Amino acid sequence: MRALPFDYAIRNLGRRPMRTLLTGLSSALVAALLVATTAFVRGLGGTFSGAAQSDTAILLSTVAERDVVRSTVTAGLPELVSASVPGVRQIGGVPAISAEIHMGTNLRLGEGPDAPGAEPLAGFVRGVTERAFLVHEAVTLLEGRPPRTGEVIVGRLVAAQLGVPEQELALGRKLRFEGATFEIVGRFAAPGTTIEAEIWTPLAELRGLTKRDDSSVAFVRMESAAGFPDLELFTRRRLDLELTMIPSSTYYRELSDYFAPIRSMAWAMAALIVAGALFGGANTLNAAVQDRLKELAALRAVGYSGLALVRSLAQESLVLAAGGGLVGLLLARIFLAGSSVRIAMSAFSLAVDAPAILVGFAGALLLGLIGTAPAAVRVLRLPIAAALKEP
Amino acid sequence: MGFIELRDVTKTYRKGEHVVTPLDRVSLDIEAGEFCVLLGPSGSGKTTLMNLVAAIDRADSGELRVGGTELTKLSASALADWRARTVGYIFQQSNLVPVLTAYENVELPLWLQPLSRAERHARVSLALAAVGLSDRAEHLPKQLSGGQEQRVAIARAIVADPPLLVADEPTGNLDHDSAEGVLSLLERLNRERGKTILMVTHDPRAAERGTRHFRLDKGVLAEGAEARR
Ligand SMILES: Nc1ncnc2c1ncn2[C@@H]1O[C@H](COP(=O)(O)OP(=O)(O)OP(=O)(O)O)[C@@H](O)[C@H]1O
Ligand SMILES: [Mg+2]
Repeated sequence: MRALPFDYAIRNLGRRPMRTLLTGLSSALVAALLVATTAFVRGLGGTFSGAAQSDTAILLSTVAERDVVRSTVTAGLPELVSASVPGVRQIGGVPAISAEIHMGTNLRLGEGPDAPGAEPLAGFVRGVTERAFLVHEAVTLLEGRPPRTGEVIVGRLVAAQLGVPEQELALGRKLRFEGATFEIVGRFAAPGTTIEAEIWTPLAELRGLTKRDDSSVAFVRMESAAGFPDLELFTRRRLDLELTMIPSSTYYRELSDYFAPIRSMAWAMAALIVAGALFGGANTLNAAVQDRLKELAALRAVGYSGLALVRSLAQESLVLAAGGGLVGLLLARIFLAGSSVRIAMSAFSLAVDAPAILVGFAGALLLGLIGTAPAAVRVLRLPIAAALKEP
Repeated sequence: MGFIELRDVTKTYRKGEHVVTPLDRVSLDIEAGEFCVLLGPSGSGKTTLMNLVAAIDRADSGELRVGGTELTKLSASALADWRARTVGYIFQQSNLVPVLTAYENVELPLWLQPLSRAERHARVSLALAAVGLSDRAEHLPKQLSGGQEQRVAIARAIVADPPLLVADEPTGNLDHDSAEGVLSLLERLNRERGKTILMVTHDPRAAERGTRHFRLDKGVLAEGAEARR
């Protein structure tokens, strides 16, 4: 197709600088918003993806209906399992079975006393033994060491989840919960899991403080998933223990499904705003065509086809969308990267990664292209002779 | 066979109940190399006729053959190609593209042809020289006078060397001197380069330049001495 010079499209952008600026800004907004939404949805999804391990299963009480906090299992469960189930993974001669207490609790920062009227914070605490590190592969200590009595280690998103500054949870700082004071001796990461928003403390001490003699759940790591039937068989042989076995992949997939409506809502909100931007962009371009009817008709009279004009219009729109989009991506990177979102007792970080950036940029471009459609139809239908009569 | 042949061409406009018939079974033969002037009162259909000949509008019925091509049978995109090759249209207003310089405006028709940058440059320079505006190449339309704008528009119309020039009141907006310049230019294009020219004008002095004269009134086309009254 014989095309108009690219310069024509570029210079047309300078004809109404204010209009161009506004359209560019709406492209920027769309790009940033799509990045944010993608980062949010992927962050939320990723929160559960990292925790699932194909060789690990969770034992919890049947009555708890898959709620690890409500679940209670007997304290001696690890020993029972390792004695009667073949195929449990041994690491350094130790069976990879981790009995844990999972609980939400009120906690306070520092040693106290608190300012009058200061509200406690809602946090999530996990009582663990050293074997937890054998089972939860994703967990790595970033600094410090595993906790001993009177100590805790904190995940790197705990500050975000509690809504307090990072330095409040630095090594050496104190925390209080369940009537005791704990020193922070370590900080850990567990990418793509909710574990990052947890506080870990020794299981035995937590049992004492909460006056329990049981655990919430036991994580059992097998040699491979092929060992799950043996574990299942164990739960059915020991009906007295009232146990249910769930592969951890199943467990986290169900958790993730639980948040599906939030993800849909995020997309719906984004779609709404994008639709608004689309409408605005299409309108602006339509107005631009209206302003130039006579000129466009003259170009047709010279011998340009309607498609050549549409192509130039699309170039104009795409250049602007790309420019605005890049600004939006930059803003998203500056303001979103490294930030995190709190949900209930947990938190996750926003994944401003290549896919999110790609979605943002592609979205802005697509918007620029689709926004051309009404103006394009108008240009293609333009009656040349009548348009030349325009004032 | 003439260069322009119209056979029983009719064009009507319908606005609700109201029907206007600016061209009522008009027939016309023009040979290549003629300088034809079209006269007639306002609203008589002169522009309508020009638009049909330049293939930017379609007739309701009749046959319309220009340069051996039957225009009524071509698709919209074929018509665009045909225009690019065959006709240079000069409007009453210059209709230049405001964001492009005089040079770039004149260059516009050449993008439609397989020409190198150097070839385009040579042709644009020639066309600008022909209208005496070589020194205004880098000016934007708003930096030119009305007469200069119209001369740039003529340069744009002739740059691709089309055999037919259609000019609809090309001097309508110009003062006496500017009009004189434009008319001389058209005359030279006709005499020296053999362009067939179809020009609408209300100005008797402009009409003097033509070799044939037509008058359009109430849908009917007449030719000859009485046309010049
Ligand atoms: N697009 C249109 N829709 C309806 N009527 C039209 C249209 N274009 C032209 N007409 C009518 O057709 C008739 C001829 O119009 P045209 O523009 O050809 O006249 P003209 O001879 O060029 O007049 P002028 O000398 O004023 O330029 C007029 O009555 C006009 O109102
Ligand atoms: Mg007219």
